[in-house]
Amino acid sequence: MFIGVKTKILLTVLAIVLLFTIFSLVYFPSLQGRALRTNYQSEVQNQAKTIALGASIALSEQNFKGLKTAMDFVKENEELRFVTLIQKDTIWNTDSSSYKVEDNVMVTFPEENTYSSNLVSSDSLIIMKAPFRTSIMDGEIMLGVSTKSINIRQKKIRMTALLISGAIFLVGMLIGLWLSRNISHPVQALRKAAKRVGEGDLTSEVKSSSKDEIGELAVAFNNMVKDIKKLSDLTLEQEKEKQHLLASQNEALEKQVEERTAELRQSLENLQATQTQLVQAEKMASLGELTAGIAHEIQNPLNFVNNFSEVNAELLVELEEELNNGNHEEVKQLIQDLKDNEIKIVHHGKRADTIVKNMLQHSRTNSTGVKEPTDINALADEYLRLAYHGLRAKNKSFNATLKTDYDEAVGKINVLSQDIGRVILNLLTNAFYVVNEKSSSAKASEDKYEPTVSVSTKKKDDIVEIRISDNGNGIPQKVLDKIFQPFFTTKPTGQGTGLGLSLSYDIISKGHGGELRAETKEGEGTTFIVQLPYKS
Amino acid sequence: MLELIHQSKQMKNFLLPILFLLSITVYSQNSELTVIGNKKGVPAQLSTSNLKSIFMGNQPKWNDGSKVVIAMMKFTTDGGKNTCSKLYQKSTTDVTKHWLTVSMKGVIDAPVFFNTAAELQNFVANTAGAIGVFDGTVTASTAKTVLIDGKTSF
Repeated sequence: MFIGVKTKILLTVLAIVLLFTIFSLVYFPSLQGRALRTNYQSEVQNQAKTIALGASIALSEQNFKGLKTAMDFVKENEELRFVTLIQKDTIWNTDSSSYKVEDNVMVTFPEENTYSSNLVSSDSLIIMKAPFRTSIMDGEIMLGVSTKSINIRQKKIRMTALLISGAIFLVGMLIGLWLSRNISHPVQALRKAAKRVGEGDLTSEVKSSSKDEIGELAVAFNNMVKDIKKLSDLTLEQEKEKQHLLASQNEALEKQVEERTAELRQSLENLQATQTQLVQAEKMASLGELTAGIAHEIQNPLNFVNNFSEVNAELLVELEEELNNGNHEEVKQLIQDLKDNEIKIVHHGKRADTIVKNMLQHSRTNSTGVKEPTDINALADEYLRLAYHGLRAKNKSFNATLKTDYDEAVGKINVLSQDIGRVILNLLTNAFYVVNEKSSSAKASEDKYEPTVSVSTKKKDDIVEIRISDNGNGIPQKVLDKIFQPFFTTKPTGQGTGLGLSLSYDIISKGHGGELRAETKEGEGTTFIVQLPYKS
Repeated sequence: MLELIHQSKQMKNFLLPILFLLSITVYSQNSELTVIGNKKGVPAQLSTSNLKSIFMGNQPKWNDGSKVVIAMMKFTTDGGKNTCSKLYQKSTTDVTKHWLTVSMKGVIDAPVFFNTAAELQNFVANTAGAIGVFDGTVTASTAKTVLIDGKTSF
């Protein structure tokens, strides 16, 4: 809640004035009343003592003049209610062993009422007693005086206090208003001016005619605003210069940026071209591997076809000779051999045909970009053979043990078979590469080593897991995090593009919503795990 | 026997003055009281009961309206004691208490007490409405002797 200076001053003055008012209205009259009563009690006590003295003199010297004078004096008091003369009688018991003092009221003025000697003061009555002792008798004077006059005087005091309080309150409030006006108005003017300055109006000026601190503050504020204006103007000028400079610099920078952007664009285009070339190279490398495998697959039946064809040609020559010689039994045997060979030629020809058809089927499927139910086990096995024979086509001395463990429950899964085939081929090529490398090292060091590559599949709930393991040297931990980065390769220059695993990772994760990760132990081997969801 | 007689003579010599003094005291206490009054206001004669009533403070003014002023011998004097016994038939203490009470009431002025009869007579002679009682002879010519029950003394 905002409370202004004016309100604060008024509240402060009001609080002080109220304190004064309460003091003068409550405490002061109370104090005065008590003092008045005390003084009056003292006065009454003195009167009682005077009468007692008069009584004492009257009793001892038969001089009643003093008593009368005292009585006349007391009687003049309009508040006098009674004067009582009490005789103190000492009454002994029968054997004079003990006594008691009894009060005997001898006379009371005025005589209309009688008052007990045990009477005590109250709010409306002041009772004062004064003892006297003579040879004739002992006693005391009891004086009863009304407090009416005191009450009247107290009322007058209260009324006076009320008037004084009212005057104090009025004067206090006037002072408060004057103070608040003289303090808050300049402060409010200062606040308004400061607000205007804060909003940017540096022409604001505070007019103050007072010679006090607030006046000095106003002068200081005006000087400050002038200084700020000077500084602001200077800053504005500098800012303009800076902006001008900045604009020219911006222009130069923009030119530079444009030039750089053009350069970068050119670099990017070059890079993209290079990347495309690299991807193409990777594809070509894969294709090479694939082609080698395919070539091997086709070469094998073709060899049979060629061999049996050559054998059949020789058998036909022998058949011609035996026919000329008339050896019918031999002719029959040769014809049977020819038939058998022809069957084998047809068989291997069909086998080659099947291989080619399968390849064509894969290529057709892949070209559509539509996922189709694919037998993962068959795909893995096919690419295992292709990869292995592809490597062997290049390196006749390479041999490796192939282990497979296919889970029949895997069944078919919707994938882009060409892409998944490429991933499997890539992982298998790497596996064969590392076991080949280790085998070469083992041969050089004459260590016993059996290169082994394993492929297994496993159905796990809603995913299919393909594990491709090798018993190579494993991947060092320091490069493990980088293997899926584009262009990262540990192969010698010219043997790898560094895009194989990166593309594989993208195919599995982005293309199929699966996961590709590697588990490795240095010196023992690596397992690449491909997880493909059934619902990708 | 002679010694006894001698002792009795000595006792006589001792007792006689005492008896004399006692007889004087008894005489003085039993001597008659005289009432005098100022010529203004005080009547020439009063009855004993009137006198007693006046000296009890029951009559503040005389018939002519003048104020009754009572004069008495101090109770420490023989005259005072004689007055108490004869006029008030009370002890000096009781009379003192009486006048204390009367003074407290403030109806009338308390008596004026004197040490000598001369002072008393002089006061009565010079104070209007004053009436005094004392034992002795009247010497003040300006005061009048008030007859009590027709007698100059009682």
